[in-house]
Amino acid sequence: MPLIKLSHIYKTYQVGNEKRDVLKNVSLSINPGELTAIVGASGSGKSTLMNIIGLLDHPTSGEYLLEEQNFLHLTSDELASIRNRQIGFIFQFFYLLPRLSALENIMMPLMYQHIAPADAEQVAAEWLAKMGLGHIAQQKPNQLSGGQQQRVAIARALATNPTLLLADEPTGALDSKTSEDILRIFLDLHAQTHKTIIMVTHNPIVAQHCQRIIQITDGEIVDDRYL
Amino acid sequence: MMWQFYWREALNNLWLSKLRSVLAIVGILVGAAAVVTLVSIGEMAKYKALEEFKTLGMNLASLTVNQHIDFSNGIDMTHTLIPDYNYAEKMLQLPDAISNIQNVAPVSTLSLPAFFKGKKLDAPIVATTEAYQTLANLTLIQGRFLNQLDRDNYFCVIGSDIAEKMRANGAIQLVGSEIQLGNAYFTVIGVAAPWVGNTFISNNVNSDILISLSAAHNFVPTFYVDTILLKLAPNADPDAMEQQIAHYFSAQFPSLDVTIKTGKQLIQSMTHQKNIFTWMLGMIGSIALLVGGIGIMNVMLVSVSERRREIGIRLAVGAKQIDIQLMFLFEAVMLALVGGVLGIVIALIITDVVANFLAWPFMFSGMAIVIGFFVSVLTGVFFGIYPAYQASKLNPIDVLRSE
Repeated sequence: MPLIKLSHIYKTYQVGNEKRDVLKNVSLSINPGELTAIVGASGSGKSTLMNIIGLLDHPTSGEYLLEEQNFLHLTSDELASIRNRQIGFIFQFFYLLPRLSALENIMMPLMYQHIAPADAEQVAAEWLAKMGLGHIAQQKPNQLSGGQQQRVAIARALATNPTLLLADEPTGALDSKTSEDILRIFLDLHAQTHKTIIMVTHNPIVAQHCQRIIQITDGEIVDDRYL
Repeated sequence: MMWQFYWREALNNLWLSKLRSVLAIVGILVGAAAVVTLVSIGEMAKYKALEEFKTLGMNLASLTVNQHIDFSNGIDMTHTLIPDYNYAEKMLQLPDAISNIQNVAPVSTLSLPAFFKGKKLDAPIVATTEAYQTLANLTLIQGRFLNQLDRDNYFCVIGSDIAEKMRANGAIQLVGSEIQLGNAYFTVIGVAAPWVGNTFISNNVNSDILISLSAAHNFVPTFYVDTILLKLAPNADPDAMEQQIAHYFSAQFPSLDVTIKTGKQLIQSMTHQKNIFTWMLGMIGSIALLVGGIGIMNVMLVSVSERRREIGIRLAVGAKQIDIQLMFLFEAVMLALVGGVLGIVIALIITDVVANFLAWPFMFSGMAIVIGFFVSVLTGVFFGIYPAYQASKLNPIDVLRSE
């Protein structure tokens, strides 16, 4: 049974008097444990697709089942709670909170589960150590390199032990050497935990390491193949 | 545990925008200080009023008597002047005539040179009656007070300071000594204990020489009764009393003006002053709190717009709207609370200064502190709600997309 099932998804934006279809009739199933790359030019609709999969955005029409459940009718608070427990987000520009230390950034999603701070801190410290960053726990994001920041962000995404990991251009802001390190983390993570990972990427090297590549052009899936 | 998390985040965020936080705090500080000062000064005034009640007794009053002389009709003033002793006698009958007056002591202050053993005593001479002792609450340490049976005997009672002076001049036995007043000799029959003072009695009894009205009448024919101390029935209405007394005198002495001053009036005027003060401070406090509150709202709105991305990230990783609202609300309340605490400290200083200035006993009640806290927290909540609500309504994808 698929973890993600999208059927006939449309997303339409009203731009002035003109309607613009960002996603047109997208149907897609992703099984648990798959490592999928979504590729496409900018403006092709791949980020919108990620937002819908990540329960951050609603499709204009169509059906979306996550673990066979339809969450689209839920309130924003209920969706927040599902995102918190089931989905881990990784962004191109890391999106760490500048005021918090690396450790506190990782603790944040746990705090929203109302976990005791001491317990949250312990979990966060474990993840930081797994990312090889135990020594920078108290540093602020602006004291860290891009690669370190993205590893903190990955730790934050994993701290709540989600079933689905969504990474939007995770290497887009990094040099090629660092990109390789980050890719390695994703591949190791996938090999060890078999988490479902979806990555939006421009980088063909990153895409080539995934099990499945979905190509989107102008809001439509034009290619979907397993490697 | 969640609270701890919110507080820590709030503190952290405020610390990182110190200048802005300080500006927001100042407004609240002024407001809270004004409100707390108002409460504590109100309390002091209340205490002070109660003290006055205690020392005066509520039923004491003083009557000021003026003869108004009308020159316009060309009548020679010497004929319109009333021999004072006549109405002094009539005054003594006041308790019989007006039921709400229980006791009465006419007072005439004479300026006559006083000498003891040839040395000048700098002492005002007060001519009065037996009732004065009770009304002024005067106790004697030696001898006795003036009484009716003395008639016009030249007896006097001396205040404690006078007694001191006389001892300094070699007097051993005060009672029985003679003091020269003008060209008459008065025998000391009593020595008063140090006297604490009374709002109704303008002179200081400690440095007075008291003689009987009859004696004064005898050797100073033109003496003048200027004040009458009255003891009123506990529930007597001062305004009605004034009219009754004026009416009482008007039949016989139409040229007399009487003005009554009662404990109630004194306390009323004190309360009135306090009310003006309360209004003024209340106005300043409210305006300052309003300005401070708007300052907080402004700071919070700027903070929300600067932290749109942060809010988006928090919402994406699972913050509920209430989490975002509480985060900003805690910051607003924290600002208000810091302002409030500093305001309370400043109010404490102001209260101390005011207490010193008015020679009131310094008092700072727990009530004032509680009100200061309450008012500042309330301001923080009130002006923090809107920015907090704005923040929680942000759409994470709108915020995260804008790179």
